[in-house]
Amino acid sequence: MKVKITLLICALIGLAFKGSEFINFSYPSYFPAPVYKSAYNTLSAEKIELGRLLFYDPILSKDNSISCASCHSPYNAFAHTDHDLSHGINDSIGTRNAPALFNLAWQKSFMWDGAIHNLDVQALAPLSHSKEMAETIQNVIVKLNKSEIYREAFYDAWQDSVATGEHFLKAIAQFQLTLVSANSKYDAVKAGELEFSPQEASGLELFNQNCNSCHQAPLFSTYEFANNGLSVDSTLNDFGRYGITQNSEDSLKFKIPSLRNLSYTYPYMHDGRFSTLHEVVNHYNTLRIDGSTNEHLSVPLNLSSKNKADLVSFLLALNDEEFVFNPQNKFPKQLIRTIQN
Amino acid sequence: MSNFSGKLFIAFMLISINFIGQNLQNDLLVDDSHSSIELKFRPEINRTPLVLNQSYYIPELKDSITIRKLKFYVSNISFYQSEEFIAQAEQRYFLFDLEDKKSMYRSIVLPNNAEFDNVKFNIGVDSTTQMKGAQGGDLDPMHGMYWSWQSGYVNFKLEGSAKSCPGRNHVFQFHIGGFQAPYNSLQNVHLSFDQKDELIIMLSLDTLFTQANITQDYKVMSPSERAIGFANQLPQIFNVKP
Repeated sequence: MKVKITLLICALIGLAFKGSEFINFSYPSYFPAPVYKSAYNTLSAEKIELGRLLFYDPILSKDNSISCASCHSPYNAFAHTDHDLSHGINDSIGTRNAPALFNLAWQKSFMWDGAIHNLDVQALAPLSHSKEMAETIQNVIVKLNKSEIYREAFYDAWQDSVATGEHFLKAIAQFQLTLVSANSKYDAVKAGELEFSPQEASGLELFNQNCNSCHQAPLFSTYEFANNGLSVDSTLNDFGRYGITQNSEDSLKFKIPSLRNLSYTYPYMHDGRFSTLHEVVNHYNTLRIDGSTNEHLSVPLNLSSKNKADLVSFLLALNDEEFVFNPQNKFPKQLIRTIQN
Repeated sequence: MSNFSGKLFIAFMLISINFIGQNLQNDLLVDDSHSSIELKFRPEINRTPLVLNQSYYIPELKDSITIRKLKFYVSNISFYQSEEFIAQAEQRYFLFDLEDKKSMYRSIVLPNNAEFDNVKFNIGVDSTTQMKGAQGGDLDPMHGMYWSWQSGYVNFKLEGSAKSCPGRNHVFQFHIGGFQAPYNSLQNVHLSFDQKDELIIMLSLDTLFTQANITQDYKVMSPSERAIGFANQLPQIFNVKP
């Protein structure tokens, strides 16, 4: 009898967790508390799965040709390596590099200029942009409500088969929240499972001296905005954060990206101007400092060739292969049916 | 085991009965202690009710204007008896859209026998709510009142045309929003009225056009100084029907 009651209690706890935020969303103890307020959007397996369907479905674009994953591929840590600037509908080219998507729960704003303040509403930006998906949320909702597969998926997720803007956006946000990258060699060393090579250890020291103020461990970014000394590209005239705040102090500031998964997320910088890590390190090594550059970049790094190689070797220890090949994040097979229909 | 199942079944039945009972009680409560007031917004120009896509002459402008779109959020509607707070509308956010006639007439549930002689509300969506992420109902981003390129609701949307407006096809577009400092465009309205079963609030749009100079500023569509300037004009266009 006792055993059976215990089993029943275990089953009940199991059920409770099934609908709770422990699903697919775990992170190491040395990560800070997430910024995202899941109290307003409680995670569930069904909502995450609906979000995954939507993320990979080109139905989100005007001519059903472009999905989120078109520019945010799982094999590139959800960035895009083919293009320096984003590639959207009708071969349109945008003005910025598609950023990698991971550890989004710890970010307080989105886009290179921080235009979006909450992950829930981020999807509206690429969806409505004339050079990305060129669609409206109203029309996406009409298309989803015509699809039997989505009526089922919305019902499973929200106990309401009618798709709404709120449920659509929250489901996509849920899938993106589960994109947690915390299984690099750096994380294994943190957990005491592995040790850095002497070269990586030397690189870590250089990293701590020169990079950690902005690319703070363990997320490898403060997710603040900074001017890292890149000159403005006169073909784009993109002044970054200034476009949002209209504050001259924000001119040429862009959101600091994480340094995790660099092997998968080239080309680098907001306009994808550098295609190799070597070029990136050289930029900081020979930086021309002026009054507007970030305070932490007061002098060029001036690293020797050996030190540069050591630093890069540490940066490569931030690659998370398990994340990149995680089957839970990949294209959902049931979508093949949706697309064929 | 059979004994245990039996107990479980009885417990389940008891919970169900209790649940049904509570539902019945709730239904009764609603009938008993609530009444409602009809809230109507009536936009007008030169004291005549505004019809979309119809032309109106504004003497101060020496020009005629046509309105194509009028949509706005009203939130946190609170009723007072002199200074004393009486009740707040249960639904916190209302989207009024002149194109959707039904949306312009709303029934607000209030405690029975509540007496009030003045009302306060916001034009727009407050920043606390904006920070919460995607919302449903009247706040669903699919209603065309959420910016996509930058976060935030459009609090007040007015579009139309006038010959003297230098924009493309003489079109003016005012999408007034912004909730983050220094460009928080939320506005407060405070109106006194004689209590009736309905509260009719007029929007004197001609006032807006005599204040805003559409020959110069005809496109305000982002959180900015100009948006704040426009938003500051809004409370005075709301009046209770005499």
